[in-house]
Amino acid sequence: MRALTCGMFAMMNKPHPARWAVLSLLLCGACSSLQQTQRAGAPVVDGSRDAAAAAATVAAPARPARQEEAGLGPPADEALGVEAPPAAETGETLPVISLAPAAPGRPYEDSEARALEVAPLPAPEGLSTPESEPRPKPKQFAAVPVAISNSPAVVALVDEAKLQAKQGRAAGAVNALERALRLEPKNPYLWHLLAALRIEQGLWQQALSLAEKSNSLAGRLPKLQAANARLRARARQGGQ
Amino acid sequence: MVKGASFYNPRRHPERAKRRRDLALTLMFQQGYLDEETRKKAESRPLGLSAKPRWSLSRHPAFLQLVKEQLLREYDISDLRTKGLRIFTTMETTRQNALEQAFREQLKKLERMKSLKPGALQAAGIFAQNSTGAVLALTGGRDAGQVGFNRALQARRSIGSLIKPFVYYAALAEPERYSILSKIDDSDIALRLADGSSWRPKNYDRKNHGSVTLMEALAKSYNKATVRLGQQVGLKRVIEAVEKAGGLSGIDPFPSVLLGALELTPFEVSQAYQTLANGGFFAPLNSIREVLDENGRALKRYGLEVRQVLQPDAAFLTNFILTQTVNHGTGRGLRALAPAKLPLAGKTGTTNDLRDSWFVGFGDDVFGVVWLGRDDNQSTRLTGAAGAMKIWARAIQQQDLAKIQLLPPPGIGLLKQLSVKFDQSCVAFPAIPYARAHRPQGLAPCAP
Repeated sequence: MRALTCGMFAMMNKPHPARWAVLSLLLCGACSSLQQTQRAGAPVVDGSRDAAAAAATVAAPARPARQEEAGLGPPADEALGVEAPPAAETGETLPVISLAPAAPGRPYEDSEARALEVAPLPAPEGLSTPESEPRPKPKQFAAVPVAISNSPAVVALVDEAKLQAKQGRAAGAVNALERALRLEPKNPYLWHLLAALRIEQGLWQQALSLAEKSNSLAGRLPKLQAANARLRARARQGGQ
Repeated sequence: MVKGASFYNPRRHPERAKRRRDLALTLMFQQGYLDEETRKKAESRPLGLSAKPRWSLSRHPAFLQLVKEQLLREYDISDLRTKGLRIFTTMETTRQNALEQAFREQLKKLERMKSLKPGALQAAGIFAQNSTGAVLALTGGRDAGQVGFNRALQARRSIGSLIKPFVYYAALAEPERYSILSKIDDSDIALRLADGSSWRPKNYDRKNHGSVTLMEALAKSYNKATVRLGQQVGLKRVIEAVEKAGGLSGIDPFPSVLLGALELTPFEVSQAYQTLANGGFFAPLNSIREVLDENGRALKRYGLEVRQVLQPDAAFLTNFILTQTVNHGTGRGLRALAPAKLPLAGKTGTTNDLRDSWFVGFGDDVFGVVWLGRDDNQSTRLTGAAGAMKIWARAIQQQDLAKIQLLPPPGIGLLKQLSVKFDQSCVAFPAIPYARAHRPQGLAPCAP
């Protein structure tokens, strides 16, 4: 199995400029295609760009252009078009249904919102005190890595998965991600990563289901939806 | 050579073993090897099995049985022949103990309440993780330490109303035809059966409820509306949904299946509900986390397997209704039984003559199935809510069970602050989910 290294870049653009962030993450199979889905002028951390460039040389190119030509997956913009209608119209900014007898809290949404906040330091250092760290100025679009989870254990397991994948040990990487999923079974990023790993392993059917699973939890994450669409396209392509 | 070593296994089949022993004693008596008195004395003695288990997991033999079955399925048999293997299971002892304790306490109470003979009721229960299918607790009978018939894995019983979520799922999987606010008629319905007779299902309360929303019909478990909806959607679609969710095949397409005239084991029911609770993603129920060899190396295994078998949007809508079952429907008693754990999703199940009492409930990532019944298939005198749900509620009191968080998939939109007719009155819902491509049109203001 080829070594899995690469940075996944996903742009998170939110109405509030402070929410501009770049997710610089992770091992992933779809990195090269993801890079191409970046909008022009998308902020990218220099260091991450290097990592991505390095990754592109290691991982097989995903050839997103060809996928789209072949009609194998929706182009990123199409996938984005489904998302993020104006908040005032549909109230889509509050995706968690609060049930009548429920406590008013929406923990998952909260934790997710926090996970998406800009943390100026690379994970995991930035994780422990995300609130107290100075945030990048609006409009500066300083790109910084953002954690996929605010659980140190999950972050450690993802790091472990990254390491294992980098060393070509797919089984170890999968094992670490599965353990992370036991802790945060509704974290869509973890399902996405597992899908990406399964693609690298050529387990297309599994990858397809895992990308769907990630997507079903990514109602508020248009960029992740786009990334999942690309994984699905690759899985379908691979399965043929 | 001992005859029928496993057929007469005294741990697994104590009745058979005893009959065999007594037959041998009788023959010995007839042929003059024993006198009458010795024979009687010997016959009156128990089998004399050592009660002390050899392994710690033997305290939970029902769970151990599942582990044994799955070991052979998931691992290479030649690997398992090695010595000194260490097997790590998915059992969580706090949940296992909580379930066993709930059985010990509640069954006696229910028997007293319903004037049943002590020991008449039997039970089985399974708790597992929604997202991975990891089995966290499993009991196969009221006495958890007893080895023998494992009802969780082996007792095939009518599932009654537990089928209904799959009827509504099948409808909601056609969002161009049905939303959870679509109306369905809950008046008399007669179905002609293959043998020429006709079948007229009744509601549990013997009433007709007129035109009701799908949400109310499922939350209140109306039979006539469900049968009518199932007819509209097609029996085939409903059966397909159950088979896919449960990893089952060959369910006979009788119309009575729509009301749960279908016999499944609690384990099979658990698998079907795992898929539903997991938003349409089937993950095989599993009990083995890891097997290490004597050097601490992990044996090769098949990892987490997830397969999308139901549509996530329709599964989400169905699960939303199941939260309303607990809020306003047949499971509303749970609000008083487990106030700290709300919101939860759930479904009660009751079969003809109260032979089976079922409850399935789930929080954010753990679900549980409890079945109550009698081995002689007589009436338990308990509905799903009066029996199994009480045990389920008791079992979760000492368990960590996160409240359900309904995170809508991308295809789901929300109608905010809507007043909807429910059970003859208007109920205000903070949000009603719908398939975004088919926003419900022409919703009239609620008038009871």
